Order: sequence, then C-alpha cells, then structure tokens
Amino acid sequence: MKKRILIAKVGLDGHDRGAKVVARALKNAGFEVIYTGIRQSPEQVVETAIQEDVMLIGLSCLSGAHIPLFRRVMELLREKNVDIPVFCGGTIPPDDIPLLKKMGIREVFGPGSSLKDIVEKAKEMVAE
Amino acid sequence: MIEDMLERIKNGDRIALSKMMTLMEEDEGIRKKIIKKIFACPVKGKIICFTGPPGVGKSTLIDQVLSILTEEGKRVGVILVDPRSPYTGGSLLGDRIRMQRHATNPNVFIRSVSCAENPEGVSRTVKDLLKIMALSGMDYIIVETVGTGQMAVEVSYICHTTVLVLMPNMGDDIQMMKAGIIESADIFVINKCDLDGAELTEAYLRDNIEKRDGWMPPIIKTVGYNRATVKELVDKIKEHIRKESCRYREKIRGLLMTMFLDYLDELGLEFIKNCGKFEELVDDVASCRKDYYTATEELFEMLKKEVLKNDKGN
Repeated sequence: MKKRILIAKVGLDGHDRGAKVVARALKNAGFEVIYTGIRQSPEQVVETAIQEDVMLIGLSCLSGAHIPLFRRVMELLREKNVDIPVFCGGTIPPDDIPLLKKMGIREVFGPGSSLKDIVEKAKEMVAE
Repeated sequence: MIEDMLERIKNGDRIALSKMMTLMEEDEGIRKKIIKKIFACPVKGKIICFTGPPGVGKSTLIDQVLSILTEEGKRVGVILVDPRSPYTGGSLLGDRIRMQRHATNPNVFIRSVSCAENPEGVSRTVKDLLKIMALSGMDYIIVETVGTGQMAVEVSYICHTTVLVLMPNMGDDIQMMKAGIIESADIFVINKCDLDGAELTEAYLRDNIEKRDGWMPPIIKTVGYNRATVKELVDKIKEHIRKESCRYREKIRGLLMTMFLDYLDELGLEFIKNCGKFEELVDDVASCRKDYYTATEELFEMLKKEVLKNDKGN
C-alpha cells in the first residue's frame, strides 16, 4: 500500500529548508510526499490533504505563530470530519509542546530532531 | 459500498472522489470494475493533456489556465503526474506548488499521482482516474505528464486536446521527440518566450508540423506569468475541442488497439511463464534442431489450444 503524506508550511514564513529536508528523507524512505510549498493558509493545507487523500500531515512553522495556525488546522480537520493524524516541526519552544499535544498533534519535532526518528514515527503513524 | 461512493461522487462529494481515486490507484481489479460500471454515464468533461520535458513551465501554465477557466464559472479537475523512484518507491510530488492558490476553490480539484518505472502501467491508471474525475461533474479535466516517451502518447488517446509545451533553445531535444510526441500534439506552446531563441524554436517547429484531419496545430508563444499570453492558449484549446470530434474517434481507435495489444502481451508472457515446452524449444533453436520461425509457430499453436481449453473450462 502507498504511504501518502503531506508536508506543508503554514503562515507567513519562508524558511523551507527544514520542511524540504524532511520531505526528502520521507521520499527516500519510500513515502509519496506531496509538498505544498511555503506560505499556506490552514484552509489550503486541509483542502490539499482532502484532495490528495493523504494518510498523514506534517506541518512546519518557524515564525513563532505555530499555536494559532496549527490550532486552526486541527479545527478545520474536525469541521470537515476528516481523521488524518498530524505531526509538526520547526522552531517550537519545548514549553509549547504540551499545548500542541492537547490540540491533538501527535508528535512535535523541534530543532535538533533526527531524521531517523521522524521517519520512524511517520511510519508508525501511517501504519495505524 | 462502491455504488454508494459513485453516487456521492456524482453529487460532487470531494472526499468520496478522493478516496475512490486512492482505491483505483491501488487496485487494478477495482479500477476495471468501476470503469465497467460508469462507462455509459453521461459526462460533459473535456480532457486536456499538458505534456513536455521537465522544467518548461507546464504547472505554471496550468495555474493560469485554472484562473481563466474558473473565472468563467467552469469546474476543473487536475491530475499531476510526477516520477517515482525505482530504488525506494518514494516520490516527491511538487507540481501543485505552482497552483496552490486554487487549492481552496470549490470548483477546482487537484490530485497528484506518482509514476512508476513502467510507463504503460501509469497511463493505464491515469486514464481511468480521468474518467472518475469526469464523473464528478467537471467541465474540464487537465492532466500533466512529463512527456518523454510512450506514456504521453497513450494518455493522449483519451484526451480531447493534447498540448505540448516546449521552451526556447531546446534544439536537438525537439529532434529527439519528433517520432511520437510531435505527431500526437494538437497545440504547441513555446513557454518562457521572453527568453532568447523563441523565434528560432518557433521556426524549427513550424517546419515539422503538418495539417492533420483539417486541423493545423497552432504554435502559441506564452510567458507563464503573463495572463494575456495564456488566454490565447485557452481560446485555441476551446477551438480545438469544438473541432476535434472526427479525430476523437481515431484516438479511441488507437486506444483500443493499444489496449488489445497490451492484453495479448500479458497473455503471451503469462503463457510462456507457465509453458513447460518453452525451454525445450529454446534448446531446439540453440542447437539448430529447429529454426526460430517454426518454434514461434509451434508456441502460437500451443497458446491457441490453451485458450480454447480455457474457454471450454469456463
């Protein structure tokens, strides 16, 4: 079975190196990675996830606005009644992790995370 | 469950359409079943194929075409094909980056598909995916493929209009593509025509294009971010769709032929795999006990018998 995953950057943030590195690692691990590019609204991300029928969404944000942006993504997913697990990465202060998890985000990968870990966790989440 | 999904797709349910496309991509059996069910459903959707080498600006052009068509109130589906690694099975589907501004437009549905090492396999899948998109009430369905071989030709059989996108200074690449793709294109685009060399590319193309069934394939020069130049392309696509009905039958003829030959191919391979006599015949030919024509004919006779036997069995 195919493993389709969406990698998306939300908000007004152009720092896409991290997202691209993660996308490449996932591609090399056999994932079908759909990459949206930078400066996406939560609405664009959720619509894209629906149209592409992905099994997992990876959000990236380095602007500091991750809490309101990711919250909106989670709200929209619930509104549209789609059940797709979400993980995230970027410059996310460790203090924010409990709140993000409470919103329903499954995994948080801050600076210094290993690609091996990300790929392993992504495989686990897809396998569920 | 499938009946229910098809009903939902006809009513414009996007989640059902998306899920169905996944099912069809993953399972050839389901794909065949669906196509046999829906072939008679009236659909108005016209299929447009954008093909051409990587990096010429196909996705950017499609983005502009989407703007123009949706402003006319049209519903448009898009299928984007990107390569899949033969080593890891992974792929990076990045065509939709160029058209993300249409992601939330309720009249647009964009789907990325990865293309395996076997091009015939992909064109088989994509042509069926186009059908299911058409069922969802689209006015147009656009498919984007990297056009460097047989695949584009096969997909073009079910497209009403095939647009070949090139760019200036491609020189010998055009030469390379002469057999096959140039003949299958209905409209030629030289994109990035603000670059040097556009006139030369145009002249070169003009020498190689011929009138076919009353249609002279036009050459349109575009700049992806300049909407006015793309408007001319959209007008030509519409004009071609209006005129193409006689040639459409020819295309279906090509499609049926290709599909039948494909079928025979598979049948033949399967037969050879299970035929105990094959290796024996190889030995006969290798040691000059038989010539290869006789051996081939004997194989065919065996295949015929096998098919007849199976027929009675059924």
